Amino acid sequence: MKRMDRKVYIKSMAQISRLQPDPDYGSLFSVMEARRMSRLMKRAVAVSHDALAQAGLSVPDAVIAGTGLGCIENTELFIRSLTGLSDTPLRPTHFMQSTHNTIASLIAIRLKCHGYNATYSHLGISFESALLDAFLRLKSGRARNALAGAFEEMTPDFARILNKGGYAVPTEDPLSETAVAMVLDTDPEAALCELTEVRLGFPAETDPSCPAVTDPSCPAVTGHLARPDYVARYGDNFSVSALGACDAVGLIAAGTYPAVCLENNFYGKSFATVLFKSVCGR
Amino acid sequence: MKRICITGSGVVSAIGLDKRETLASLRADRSGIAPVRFLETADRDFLVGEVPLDNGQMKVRLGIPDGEPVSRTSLMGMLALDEALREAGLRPEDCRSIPLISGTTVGGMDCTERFYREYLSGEHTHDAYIALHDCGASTEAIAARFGGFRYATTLSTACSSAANAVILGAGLIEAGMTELVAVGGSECLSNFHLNGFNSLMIIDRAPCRPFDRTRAGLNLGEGAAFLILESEASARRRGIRPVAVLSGYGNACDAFHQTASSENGEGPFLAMRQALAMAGLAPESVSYVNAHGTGTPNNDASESAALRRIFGADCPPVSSTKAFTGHTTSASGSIEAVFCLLAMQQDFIPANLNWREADEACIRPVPAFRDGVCLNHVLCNAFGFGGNDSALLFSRYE
Repeated sequence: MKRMDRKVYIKSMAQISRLQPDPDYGSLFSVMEARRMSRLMKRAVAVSHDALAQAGLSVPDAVIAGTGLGCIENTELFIRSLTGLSDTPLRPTHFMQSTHNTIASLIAIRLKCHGYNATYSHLGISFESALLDAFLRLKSGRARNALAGAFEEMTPDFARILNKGGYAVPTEDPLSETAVAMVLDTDPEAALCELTEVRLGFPAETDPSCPAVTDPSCPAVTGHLARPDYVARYGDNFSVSALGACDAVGLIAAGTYPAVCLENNFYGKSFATVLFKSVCGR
Repeated sequence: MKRICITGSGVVSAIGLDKRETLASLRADRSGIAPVRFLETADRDFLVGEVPLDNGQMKVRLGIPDGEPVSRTSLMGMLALDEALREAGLRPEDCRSIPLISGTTVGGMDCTERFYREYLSGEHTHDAYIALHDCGASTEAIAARFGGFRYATTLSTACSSAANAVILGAGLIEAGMTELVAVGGSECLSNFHLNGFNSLMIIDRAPCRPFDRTRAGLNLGEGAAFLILESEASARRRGIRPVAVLSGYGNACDAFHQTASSENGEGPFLAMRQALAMAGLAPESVSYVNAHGTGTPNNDASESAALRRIFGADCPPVSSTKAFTGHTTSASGSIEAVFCLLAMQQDFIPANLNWREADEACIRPVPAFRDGVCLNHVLCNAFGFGGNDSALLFSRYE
């Protein structure tokens, strides 16, 4: 097949949010393992495991993650020790597990996956950046499949800080958090939908070539202040558009629409548009 | 396959505020590692590679008002990207049609750690710094300096972030999604990661000695570098002669441990092998390897194992430039890529400073500046925590 001619499909997805609570982790981790892992790490492993199992895949060709703030709980624990806010001495574990790429690395270590591995951290389009990378790798034939996801955790302290900084994230229980994993594949067999476009940077409403604008039959799942579809549902966090993407894929898989456009405008600071299409009637 | 050309580059590190100064330091074996001068820290005895300007001095250079909230990561990134754009003949108005891909992990942590206590209090003096915390914000600030790019995104794979930014940028050109892209990374020193690396006991209080038998850890550094990647068709159209081509790249995961490297260097081995395969080159074609070579016992042994697996007994000249700059973490991939481009253009191999005693577990690096060597193909390694290992292969533009 000619380069960049391959089609890309979403084979499976799994999510944890305030509407889809944590699963029982007993089957995934020993008590000791669970104790060493943050909440976000456990969730990331759980949704990845679930998405891969649904797709019938044991080891993907690539693991690509998005996270706006990274492992903020461990980051804060380390800062608290550093600034004398807590008496806990500086713990190497907090530092080791504070890095943004901890999540994709952990997934790769558990799967013994030596394939392509990357983590994106760019405001509200970290998920779409990961999706774009996966899309490119599959289109070009550098990978046959990829596990792509977005992972965000929140603490009460950091939620309050973000509100001081102009972000309207929930500060009371339930805080808004995201764990989403999707398997992308070039094989259409049993796919939930096709992924046809990933664009960064263009505010959809001002881009005349955007599918949602040109095709009136294509509804949009949006995440901005004017039409906060998924933000209203899940609460705001830096990776909430990944939950919006799950909604969009779900609408197509259920046969509700032939195509859905995910529009993400994150506080006017970062923008992305993603188009999902039905595989029926190809 | 489309050739990915490099038509501009810029660099800021402890050994220079631009390529001219950097080249002079590399030629003179002049290290930039010294006790802490600018980082506000309790322990000033740490040896670090600081960019030799405080934030105020950088703002003066950039014409930014002193009171404006900007992270050090962004300031250094602005200086390096400005140099890269100029060399490529690109004006700020051209940036609107070009993506910017940067790599960082620290982002605005220097601001967050300074004001964190205040953020949690009822005070509001430094609230404007809160939105500078995350990695993406530091990239957006760099983009805004030039009037905004087509879009920006940020890789955060620890110490291979900038190398992976180069890889995504190349992918965008190959896919025909852009003709031009600015790629690189920026990272300032912070107490957060200085203390973090120290808690992992991988910082040497003496100058780092990559690949030496007595090596005992790394010195941290900081800096930024950007490359302009361009399709050959676009460079021809604009009448710009490419500096070099990115002939291959590789990204693999060691999948071994969050902060340790495997004994056989599986991740580095796979990354280098991919880069060579993509370029269609045999290992013996490589003229020089700029190693990741941090100076930690673990990294240098693991990287050496990978180099031996790739090159066998016939290893090309290898040096780590970490003893010049310190480990510039997320920015190291692009900073050292610029060193490789300078070496190719000026026919030299930079020294692996401070190497004296051979170690059985390690390759023997090039200990002193070597002049008058023609470098046709150069490998540049960048490895990160979590086993995020990447390799870039640069070749002469013929």
